[in-house]
Amino acid sequence: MIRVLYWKIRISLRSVTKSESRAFLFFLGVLVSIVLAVVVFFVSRRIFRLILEAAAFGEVAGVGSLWVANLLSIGFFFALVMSLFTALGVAFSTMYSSSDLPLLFTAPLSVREVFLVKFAEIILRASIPTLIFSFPLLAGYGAALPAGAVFYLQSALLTAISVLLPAALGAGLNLLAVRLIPPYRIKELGAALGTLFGAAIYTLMHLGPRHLTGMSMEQALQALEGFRLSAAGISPAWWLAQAAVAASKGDFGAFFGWAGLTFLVSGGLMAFSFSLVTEAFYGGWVASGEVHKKDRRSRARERPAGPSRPGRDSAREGAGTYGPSGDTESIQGFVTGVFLRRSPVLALALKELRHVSRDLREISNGVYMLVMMIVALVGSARGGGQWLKGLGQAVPLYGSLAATFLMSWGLSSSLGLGAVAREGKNWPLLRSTPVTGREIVRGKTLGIVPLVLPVALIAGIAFTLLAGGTRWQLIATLCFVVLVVPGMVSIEVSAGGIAPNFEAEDPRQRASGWAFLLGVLLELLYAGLLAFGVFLAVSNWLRYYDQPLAESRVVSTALGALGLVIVAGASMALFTIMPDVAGRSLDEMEAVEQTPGNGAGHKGKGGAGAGPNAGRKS
Amino acid sequence: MIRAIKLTKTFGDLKAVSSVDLDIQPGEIFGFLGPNGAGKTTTIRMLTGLLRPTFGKAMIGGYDIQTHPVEAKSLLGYVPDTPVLYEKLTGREFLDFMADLYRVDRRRKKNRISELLELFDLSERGDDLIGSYSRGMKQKIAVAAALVHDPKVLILDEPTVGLDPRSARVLKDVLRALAQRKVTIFMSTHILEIAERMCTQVGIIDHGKIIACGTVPELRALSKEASGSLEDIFLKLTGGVEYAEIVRFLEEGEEARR
Repeated sequence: MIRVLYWKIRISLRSVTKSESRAFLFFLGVLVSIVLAVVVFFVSRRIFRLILEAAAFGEVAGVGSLWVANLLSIGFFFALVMSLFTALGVAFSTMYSSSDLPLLFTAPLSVREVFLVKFAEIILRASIPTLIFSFPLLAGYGAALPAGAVFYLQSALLTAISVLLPAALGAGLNLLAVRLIPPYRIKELGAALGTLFGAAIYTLMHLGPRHLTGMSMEQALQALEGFRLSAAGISPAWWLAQAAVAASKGDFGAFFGWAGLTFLVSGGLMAFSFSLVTEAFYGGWVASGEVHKKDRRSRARERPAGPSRPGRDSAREGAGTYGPSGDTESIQGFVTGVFLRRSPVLALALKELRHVSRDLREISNGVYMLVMMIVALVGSARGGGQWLKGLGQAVPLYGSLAATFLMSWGLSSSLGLGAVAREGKNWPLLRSTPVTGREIVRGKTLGIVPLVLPVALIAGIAFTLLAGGTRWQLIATLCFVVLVVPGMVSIEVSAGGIAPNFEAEDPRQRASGWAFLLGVLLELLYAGLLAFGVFLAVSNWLRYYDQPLAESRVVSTALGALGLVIVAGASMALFTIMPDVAGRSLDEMEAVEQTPGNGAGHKGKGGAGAGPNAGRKS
Repeated sequence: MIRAIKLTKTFGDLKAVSSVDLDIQPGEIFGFLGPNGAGKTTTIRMLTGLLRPTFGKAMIGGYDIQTHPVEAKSLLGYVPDTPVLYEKLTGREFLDFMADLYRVDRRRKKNRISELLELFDLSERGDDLIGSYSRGMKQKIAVAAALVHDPKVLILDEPTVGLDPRSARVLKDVLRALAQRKVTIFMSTHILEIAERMCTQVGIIDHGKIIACGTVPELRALSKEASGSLEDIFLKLTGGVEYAEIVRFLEEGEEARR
């Protein structure tokens, strides 16, 4: 078993250094980790010094070991959470989606031995956040005291113990999740949760400091005390913190008591997940692909498919409910117009709509983008907004239009830029059908618009109401959204279609950097054109300004109409022209890129190929 | 129905496919054989319009697939070597989607999808997401998708890989029935028994060149293997005789040990 673990580590190291670029990235990662650890050390040393000095001079009542323990507890809490997320991801990739499992299980190793190897892998990888965060935190505390060498030894022991807990919990949770969720969806769910976690961290990082600014020391400490998750008696983070405080005081009994408690709980969890692993392997994992078997049987009873019962089938289809999945019935019913059904563009649009709405990764990426936009808008609204005062009565309208535009842009970019490359390995199949590039881009644009539009409308309503806009301003904003979104989505889908990366697993890497820049440039030009159109319409029709552009009513009306034509025309033009341009580019591309490596068909050695089928046999 | 004229594809200095000429008539089942890396998939990709030939032409139903891709592809059904499909669509939705791409008439489409699901024993799972399918089921739905628009030409890259015996049999029967209806079938396979039993014509490609083409008796005559199976012919033509010798050596060694 030790030999297997040795080989696993060796293979992992070789995989990170197998090419120069990978080795460079690995080196960069190590460097960043060291820098982070050093930063954590210096920052924590500074903070602990401040607290200890404040306690020594009695500046703040009650400051002392309790606050130190609170701070340590929060530090451990974050380290544990980070390790837990790492452990969850690693547990999935090493225990289930790992390609070496068949090899290991056919080797003369027991199931328990194989899982011990996997467990060790989880611990090794989950320990990285702990090494970057927990140990430097404790070292910073030790330096602030200053503490002796024994404290650092005890800190190292605490750090090691703190890794066990998330690793065991991660493995256990992973196994439970696998039992409940089909394996083909769990990766997607993990990615979605990770993205949403990232959004939460982003929000905290941007809005948290603003909230904390201006707090007094006492308020800050009260807030610290109120952080119950880390300070509760049942929290392992709190136990670890108590152990660290005991170590700093040289109280070995208390140190071993708290550290032992953490170790025992970790050991218990480890034993539990270990037994679950074996159980899951023989029972849950094998059966997990059959989670919906019961549902299928009941469906089969309700709605037998195939020509054996044509009468029943056609009766159901007549009602517009031909698919069984409830989440798609409304979409199906909506698009099931008799004359529309044969259009490949609409088929592609419907497929895109289904694909995105059923993929948790896509949804979470969209949500992530929305959160970022909201945070940025809230931040700028709280921090500034003085320049808006010069715009007089038009502020609510301009403000809500600009905010809605930005929000819609964010979502369009998130869903649209990678829309063509979303085809991934299906691209050759799609290109073998009689569908042109233009139809593909247009279909994808049509599929994304219904996903962006409702969010943009809600954003428009919310921003107009928040800005104190009138009913007319609200109507104007909603019209603006309906007119503008198709053009915006068209830009993003087309820009992404000019240089798609079909290989990318991560939705954010489906378009190249310059496709993103092209999208940004075109959206900025579009925004400029729209701003001009809106300005003409607003200044001449809604007459917000004391001096409209033209005194004559006819000229003023004409200018207003011109503004509207510019807004609608820009969107229409983009919706028409952009798919043509991107479609032509797609038609000129080869559907599969081959290199001598895969073109000559050396199975499994075609890694040099960049196309969707790179590496496949010929 | 399928014509390749001097079809050539080079990658840098390497000629993956070199001057391939093919002329396959309606109703023929053409077996395309060759060792790994011989250029089978590259040829198929050029025939389906997925790769642009460096030189030469690929014609489907009289249409050049490069200059008239929509017309040519309308006649074509293609089953790729690996069934990579839309995991977020159900089997039924996928067939519906493919039928729409080929502009299949609505009423015909409905019946056709039901028939195909029934034929490949997928009716019960037709409403489950493809992501939950096994490899064999994915292969079946890929074959069904290629048939949904009633193609005039069917190009299949290793179609029986991953299929259970029943589905493999169904596929073979379907292909024979289609051939009787004058559908042209172009099939690459490593299972020589299938090629021998099913194909009216067999082409063998090696190092990017067609080294033999014709009926099995014609190939037998060409390889001077009067009573040999297609496997023997294939090994002889592609220089794979040494593998047979290795097997013989191992067998003799085993007997000697006994």
